[in-house]
Order: sequence, then C-alpha cells, then structure tokens
Amino acid sequence: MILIISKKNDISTLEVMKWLNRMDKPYIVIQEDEVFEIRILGKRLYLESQRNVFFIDDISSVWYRRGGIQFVRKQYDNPSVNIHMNEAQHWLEDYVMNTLESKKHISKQRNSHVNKLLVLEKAQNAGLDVPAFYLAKNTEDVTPGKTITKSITGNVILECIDSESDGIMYTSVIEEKESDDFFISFFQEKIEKDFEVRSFYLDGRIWSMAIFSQNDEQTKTDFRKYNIENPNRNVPYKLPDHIEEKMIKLMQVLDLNCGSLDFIKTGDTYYFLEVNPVGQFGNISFDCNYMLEKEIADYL
Amino acid sequence: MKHLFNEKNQLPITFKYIELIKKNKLKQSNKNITYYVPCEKYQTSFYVREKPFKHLVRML
Repeated sequence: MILIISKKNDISTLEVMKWLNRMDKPYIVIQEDEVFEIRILGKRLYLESQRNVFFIDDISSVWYRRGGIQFVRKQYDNPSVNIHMNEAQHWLEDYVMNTLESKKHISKQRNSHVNKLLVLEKAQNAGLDVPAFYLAKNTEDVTPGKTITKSITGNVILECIDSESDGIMYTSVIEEKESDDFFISFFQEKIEKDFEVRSFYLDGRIWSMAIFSQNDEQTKTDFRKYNIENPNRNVPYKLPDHIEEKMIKLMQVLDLNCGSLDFIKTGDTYYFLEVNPVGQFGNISFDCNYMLEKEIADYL
Repeated sequence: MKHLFNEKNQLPITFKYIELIKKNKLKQSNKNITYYVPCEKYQTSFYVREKPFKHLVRML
C-alpha cells in the first residue's frame, strides 16, 4: 500500500493518483484536514483519522508531497502528568514518523523545509557556482540596479495582508539606497541571464527545462510573474554532466531524494539559485512532455 | 519599511518591493482559464474540469 501525504488542492497529486489507478497500485491519500490517533491492535500499530485507517506495516512506500501528518495530543489535568504524557506522545509520534520515513519514499515530511541560506553554502561546497550573497541591515554595500533581494522564507505569499489584497514577494532588483536600517535582509549579485533552467530531481535522475524569461520585462527578474498573454517559451534542456553530478552531490548532502532546483545560465556558467523540496513540477512535466507524474507513480 | 505596514519592529527590505494583488483582480484573471469541481474519486474539491492533456508519444 502506498501512502501519499498531500493537500486537497494539489493538482500534481491528482495526476499521480491517475497513474497509480492505471497501474493498479493501491494507495491512501492523507490530506491537511485529517488528524490521526495512534492506536494498536495486538502488537500492530495503526493510524486512524476521520477519513482513513491503516496499519503502519501495510505501508510499502511513502510520497510526502505537501502538508503533513497531524496527530491528536491528549491533554491531562495534572501538570506533571501532562508534561510527562506530552513527551511520551511525542516519542510515539516520532517512532511512527521514523518508521514511515524508513520505508521506500519520495521526500520526507521532516526535511521538507530547507534553510535557503544554508543551501547556498552547501551548493558552493558541492562545487556549484552561486551568485555572491550576503545578509545586511542597510544598503551600504548595495549597488542599485546590480543587486537583488528576495525573501529567505519558503512561502513568499502573504495572504490577506490587508482587507482587500494578498502580498507577493517576488525576487526584486534594488532600485535605490535606503537611508534607514531595516530587518536583516538577503542580498545577492544580480546576474544577467541568457535563460533560466528549472530541474526536477528524483532519486539521482534529473529532468530540466529552459525558461526563456529574459526578453520579457515582466518575467525578467522573476519568471513567476507569469505573462499570461504572452507566456515564456519553455523547452526541454539537458544540463552538462558536471553540473548534474554536483546537483546530485548537493541533494545527497541535503538528504533530499526529490526536489525542484533553479539555475540561471550566463555564457558557460550555470548559477545555482535555490532548491525547493516540495516545488511545483507540473509545468516541467507538461511543457517538456516528461511525464514526471508517471515517473513518481513508477517509483512508488 | 516598518512605516509601510505600521509595524513597531523593523521589516526586511523585501517589504518595500512587495506586490499587492487585489483579490477580485485575481478572480477576474482566472475567469477564462480553469474551473474546478469536487470529485469523490480523487477525494478533492479541486478537480480540474477540463479535457485531460495527452502526452506526446514518439512512435519509433
């Protein structure tokens, strides 16, 4: 039995489920609104939520896509008992999660969020080219027009930032110096790109797509500012072997067996930008005809 | 930056460049693109109601 941990609204999960149906592979999907209780029958642990119930030892492989398994935590009246039982429940949950993650898997819930700053350092250590970056609380060393800033958070969307808008923090070019100090921010050298490359990594295999975003003012600095009227041209692409070898090394150091990696190509140099362990890959799959959803279903 | 959002603590410079998107504008821009429907089989309320795309298969 395959276990899929995802969110209701993830289209890629649906596409993988269609392939699993086609392959007659049974699966269970856990969604974000489920809360599980750890139960036992004889000596076999099982998890039960409002929608699902399954034995841990019936699970043969796990795909962590998004969201996460949530557990019921029982509360106790006596504060000392409560502290003790809180720890007991923590270790029981930890055992369940470890057991699930020790099975054949694609991504793990517990390292699905990476620190962008550490990833850049580790990418440099793996031999990848990374545009010069630093943290600062002012723009003293910043050259306007030649430096970009972006959020160090995984989520760049601030929902309902005011009563009628959402906020999105795209990668932005610093336009001018600031007179005041600000919260420690991330700055990186702006690279004039020939094109961008987005790669999907799965267990040592790599599928890449070139994104020609540099000729459109709207998508020039951040291709996610999609131009719906006139979309960027996206084509299948093969990164040089020496870059792919370094990517594999980086993913191994990060203990990730799946993820989306972004690069910029300038001349003969491929600059690594970031890795997203739970990134979107539907566009690479569709635009380049890679059928990545089938690859995932095959692997599970 | 903190003045922009009336926060007493400092905010990173990314807040200066944040793009605000009106919620109703989002709805309008998606109007012609995709529709979602609930689907019991796939346990979702977000099933894409469109003809499934067919991958190209090169015949050798």
